[in-house]
Amino acid sequence: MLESLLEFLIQGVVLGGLYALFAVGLSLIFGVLDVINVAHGEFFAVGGYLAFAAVVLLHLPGAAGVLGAAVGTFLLGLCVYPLLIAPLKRRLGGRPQGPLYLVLTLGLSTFLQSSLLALAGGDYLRVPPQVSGILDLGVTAVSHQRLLVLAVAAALLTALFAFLRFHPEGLAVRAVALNPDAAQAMGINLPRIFSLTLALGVALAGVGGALMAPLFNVYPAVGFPLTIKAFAITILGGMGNPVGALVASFLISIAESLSVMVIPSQWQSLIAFAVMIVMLLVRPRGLLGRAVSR
Amino acid sequence: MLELEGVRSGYGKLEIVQAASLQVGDGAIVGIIGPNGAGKSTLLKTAFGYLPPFAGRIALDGREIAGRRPDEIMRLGVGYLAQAGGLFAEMTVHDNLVLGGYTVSRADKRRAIEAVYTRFPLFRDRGGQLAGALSGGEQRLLAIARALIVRPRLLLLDEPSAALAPRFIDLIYASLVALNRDGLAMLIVEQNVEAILAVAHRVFVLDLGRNAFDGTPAELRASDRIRRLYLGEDEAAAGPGL
Repeated sequence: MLESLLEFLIQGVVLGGLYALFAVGLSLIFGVLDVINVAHGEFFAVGGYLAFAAVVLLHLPGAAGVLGAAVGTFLLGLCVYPLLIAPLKRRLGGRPQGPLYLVLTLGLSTFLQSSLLALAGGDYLRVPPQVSGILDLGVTAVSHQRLLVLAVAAALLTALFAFLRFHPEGLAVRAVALNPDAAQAMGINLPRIFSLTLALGVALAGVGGALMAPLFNVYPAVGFPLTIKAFAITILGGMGNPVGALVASFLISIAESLSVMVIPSQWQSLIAFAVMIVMLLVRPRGLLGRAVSR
Repeated sequence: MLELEGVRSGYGKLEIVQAASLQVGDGAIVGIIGPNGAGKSTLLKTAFGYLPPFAGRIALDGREIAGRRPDEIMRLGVGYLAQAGGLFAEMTVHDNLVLGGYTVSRADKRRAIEAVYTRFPLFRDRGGQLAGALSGGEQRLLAIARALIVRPRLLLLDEPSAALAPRFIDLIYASLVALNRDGLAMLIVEQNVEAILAVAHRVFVLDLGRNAFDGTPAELRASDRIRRLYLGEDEAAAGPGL
């Protein structure tokens, strides 16, 4: 019993790394831009395809695939605000925009999926693992690839939170999330911070896509289920709160993993959504509330 | 320095400021007073770029700045203090000051923050506290100190005395006068008429989005009509001493 508990706990923590990489970016974007990025999963898919292109087509090392995914999705993310969101914002003026942004990013999601389908076809593509081998922990075994996902997630998220806490541009991101008008009075260029935040957020998803490509295979809609799950995670953590998203990622992943000890495994994926519904009914602000600022 | 000429602005299609004009000369303190809803804060926000003017001219040192973003106007040497101070309440006092120096070099920022700490030792002692934990008066002082880190030439202030205890109002205005002596020009929207009349070189009265008076505080005090209409005084109560 104890061994099973440990085994599922370890698997849950490893899965939490991927969830965190994905959900923290989604939450950061919402916290700063007030935009629910439905297309987040497509940037995960783009990361996977870029890794495939680098490793399988160009025969570059696995690390180059991950780096290429990070840079490629970052650059793509830089274009989203000036090309899509800013023009809509200008047209709407001060009117409420949330639902329209949702539709806009849903359109972007469909556009990116269709583009990937047209460019690469709908086949499941295999990407060789960046690292091979299995770590035997006694109670369970974890592939080196999954441990790599956890390690990279830990490194990137530590870097992200250090950036937000100590770097002048990171402070500017937090300031914009808290009070955009006051941030402008400090000389902070809002469109620049919006673009930077979007790029950082989707680049995290892109890296996740590249690292998970050897485990999930790559296809145009590979990121969509993750987007839906990330909504549940961000609601649990507090919409727009990256720290909350980090905590909630591990809570959900561990809960999912441990759930198979008490419920049939086909119900496992419902855990996140059950938690989301309960959270919305009981504590809609989430565990930690909304605060990119902290 | 700053000139607004025939400025119309508002929110969406609602025009609140209707052809208002004013000027702020180098090193001057200029006050804007008027009844609630006159468009004073709207005019200030328009001057700083938060609201695009529907019409009119806004010029800084003769250069048109209408339509520019607030961060661009700030980089031209204009500071802005929002009604409640505009602090980042959930960030520390120190981080607020660091953000105040967002546009200057690291060395200049460090020097300027050190100068703030020397002038207001309270902020050094409480640098690690959340800005929102300071009292209302302390928050207003911090907002002013933060705005000064980049050494602006002109400061736009929206009701700096709002919701403050009298001793803090005196402190804030004493600080503003001291800064003005060093050459800082100010455009101050104020509901506290006595406070602004005591320090301003020139006063504009705005009513229903239009200029209703433009002159020195002494001229304003001498005008029975303005006193009656905008300062809420009747002729008998006003007396000759005003």
